[in-house]
Amino acid sequence: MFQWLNRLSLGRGQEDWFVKALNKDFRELEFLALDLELTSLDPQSGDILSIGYVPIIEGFICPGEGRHCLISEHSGVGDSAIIHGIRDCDTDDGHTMEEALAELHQARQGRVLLLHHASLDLAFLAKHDNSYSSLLAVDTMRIEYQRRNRQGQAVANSLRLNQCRERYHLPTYKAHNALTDALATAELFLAQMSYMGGEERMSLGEVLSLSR
Amino acid sequence: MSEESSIEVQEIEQFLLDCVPFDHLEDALLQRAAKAVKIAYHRQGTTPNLFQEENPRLFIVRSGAFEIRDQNNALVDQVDVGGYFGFPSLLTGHKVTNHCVVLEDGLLYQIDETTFQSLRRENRIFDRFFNQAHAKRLRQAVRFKERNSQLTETVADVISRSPITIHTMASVREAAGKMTEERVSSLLVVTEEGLCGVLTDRDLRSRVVAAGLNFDVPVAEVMTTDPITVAHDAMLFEALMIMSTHNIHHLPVIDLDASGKGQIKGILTATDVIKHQRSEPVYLIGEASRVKDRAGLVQIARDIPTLLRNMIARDARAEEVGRVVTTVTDAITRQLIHQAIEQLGEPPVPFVWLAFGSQGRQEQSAKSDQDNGLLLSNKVKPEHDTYFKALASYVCDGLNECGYVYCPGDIMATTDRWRQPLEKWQACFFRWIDQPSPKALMHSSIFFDMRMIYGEEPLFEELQDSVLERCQGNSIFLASLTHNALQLTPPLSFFKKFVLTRDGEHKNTFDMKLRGVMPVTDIARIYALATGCKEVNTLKRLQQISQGKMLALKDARDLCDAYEFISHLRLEHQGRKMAAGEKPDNYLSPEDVSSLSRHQLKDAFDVVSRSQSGLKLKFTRGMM
Repeated sequence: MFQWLNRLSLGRGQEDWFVKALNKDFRELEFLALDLELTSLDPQSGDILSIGYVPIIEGFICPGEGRHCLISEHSGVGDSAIIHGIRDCDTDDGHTMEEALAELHQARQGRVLLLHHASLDLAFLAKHDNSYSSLLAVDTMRIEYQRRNRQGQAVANSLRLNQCRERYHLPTYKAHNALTDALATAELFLAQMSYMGGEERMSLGEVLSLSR
Repeated sequence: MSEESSIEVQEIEQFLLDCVPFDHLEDALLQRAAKAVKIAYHRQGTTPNLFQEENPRLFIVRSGAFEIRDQNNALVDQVDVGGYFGFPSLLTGHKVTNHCVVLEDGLLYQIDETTFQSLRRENRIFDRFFNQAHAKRLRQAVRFKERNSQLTETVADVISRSPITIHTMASVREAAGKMTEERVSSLLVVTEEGLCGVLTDRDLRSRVVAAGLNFDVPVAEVMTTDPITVAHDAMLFEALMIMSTHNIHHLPVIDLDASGKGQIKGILTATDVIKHQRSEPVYLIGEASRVKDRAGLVQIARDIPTLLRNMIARDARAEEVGRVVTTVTDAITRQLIHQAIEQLGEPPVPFVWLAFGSQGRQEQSAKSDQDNGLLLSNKVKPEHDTYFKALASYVCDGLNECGYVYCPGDIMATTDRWRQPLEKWQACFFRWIDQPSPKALMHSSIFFDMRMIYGEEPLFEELQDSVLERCQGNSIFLASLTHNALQLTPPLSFFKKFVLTRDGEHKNTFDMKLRGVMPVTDIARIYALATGCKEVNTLKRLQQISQGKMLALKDARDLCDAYEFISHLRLEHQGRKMAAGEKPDNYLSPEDVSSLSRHQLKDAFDVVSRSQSGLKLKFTRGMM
């Protein structure tokens, strides 16, 4: 049933945890909502400017345990500053990629990654750590895509994070940074779950199926 | 902690900063609170199991709207963005018995007990806020909070002491002794039946001493008999109006019960009122009764929009706003009549200046047209019409200059049809009542909201009494009125969604006057005419009708609440328009109000809909 399982890239000893987790209700598990700010949308030429993440623990988002990491190693923010507002000088005191990835790796332990448009951010991360290229993550954009497809609604141009959030009456956030977007993604995820499963049990396996 | 720690919870901190009392927390405490926040999403219509006995928490609404109900499912509180719940059990440690219903999709922040208690311990304002919020909850949700502004003070607020009375058979000597002893300038004269007169120190001077009377004469011989009184819940400026209209300085204050019997509460003197004259409407009304020319009144009328804006800003009740604004209009109208009489000489026969529609009902707000008429004594002769035509022109022109534009339907004293002797007015009303056609009634219903602004009270009463008598039990007339009233329904669909205007200038709005306020005034009018109720103000009508059998007390109260809520939202909307420098109108977009207000508005509309159904059942049985 879960053929995509073979795409999993898990550390040694993690397979067991994951297989058990697949049958658990998502409210019994932990997720890590993740977002990156990038200098471009092209993984070949672009760099990661910042990494933001927020855990969801047993159905509750815990922003107090979130983290925002600016990365100092990049080839200049260029025009992308218009989008995220990060200037070159802001990242001068930032972390090296190695430090940031180590922290992220630590934060991921025992948690399922959660992203909006996962393939893009994972491609950027894979440039630095190949294990991300085959990592399985929950993707709120894919969940929305499938949901709208099933409802027979137009999908084109309706899947941006804020567009999706509006459908669930989630508030609009002014700030645009990796941490806020990670929080926004986490909230969207809980809203989607609430609409699709309600109070019903929903296993991680089902959640992953919904986000294929 | 790393340098970025404060950035990390920025979104949360920013939100908390907008919430009293979190905005009073020191930076470190605010960060502690923000770090402790956990977020969950709740979908509309669900009843999440939020209250866990072993794990009480403070809930803060980040978005959406929530309802708290007790174990009997009675409503305890409704909260939307920035609102709190869950705190009572944190404060008392008592078992939670409430539950929560999600009215609108939303995010809930929650803060655990340990953090909440530490914030209480370390910040006094935080602690006090939740204690007060708890106390307020205990007092039970009064839907419309009490407000105490100078503007809206009632007579009862001002009279400072219990009434000083004297028996009608006491001598003037005794009376003078009592006045000196109590240090008052007037006494209320009573019999076993109740109030029968007023005795002032001026009466003692002019009617006793100056007249050379024996000091043993009974008070009854020198007092002012059957004095004009004021209700204890009348507003202060209304009392002032009475004083200036009748040129008196002492007003006995009466508490009327449902049977119309009065209990003496005290006496209001001009000095009492002057002490409170700083508030604007009192000032405006006082000024209006002094100025000698039309230009002066125009000047005063210019201040009405400011008065209205201020009252809305101070969150006055819509009912109070209506009464205040209308009282200023009444004062201007009366002064115009005074000025006209000064120019034209005394009227040849008695007359009454009538106000209809919103002025009649004391429900004016911004943008009121004039609706008025002249009721003349049956003794009027054709040659007198020149006089009354001139009077009407002076007053209507003056009102127009003051911003009460001419009635587009010509319902004005300047129109010959609406300047008639009593018998013609009666014939006109009787025609509407006896041969009702819905179309004719559509335009004449505002005439049934008539009030005397100036003139001979007996003349007015004769008209009012005969009209009310004719209406009662006239089922075809009442059915026709009902038929018309049911044409305007609240803008709610079968599924309780707002029905909005689809296109045109006012797209995606609904007309708060036409679909919100007017349906209730229609309902109140029909019940009033059916029961012979003399009140014309919508709330007073409903209150009085609820004493009878026609409308259940609870239904009347619900309808009063709904009416006040709808009117208040309409006023707020007009206030926003005026604040933005735009012309106030009645077109409200549901998007312009908070989600909580939207819910309450739906509830209010629902009450109106149900009242309309009740009306239909009662008055159109088998007829339409």
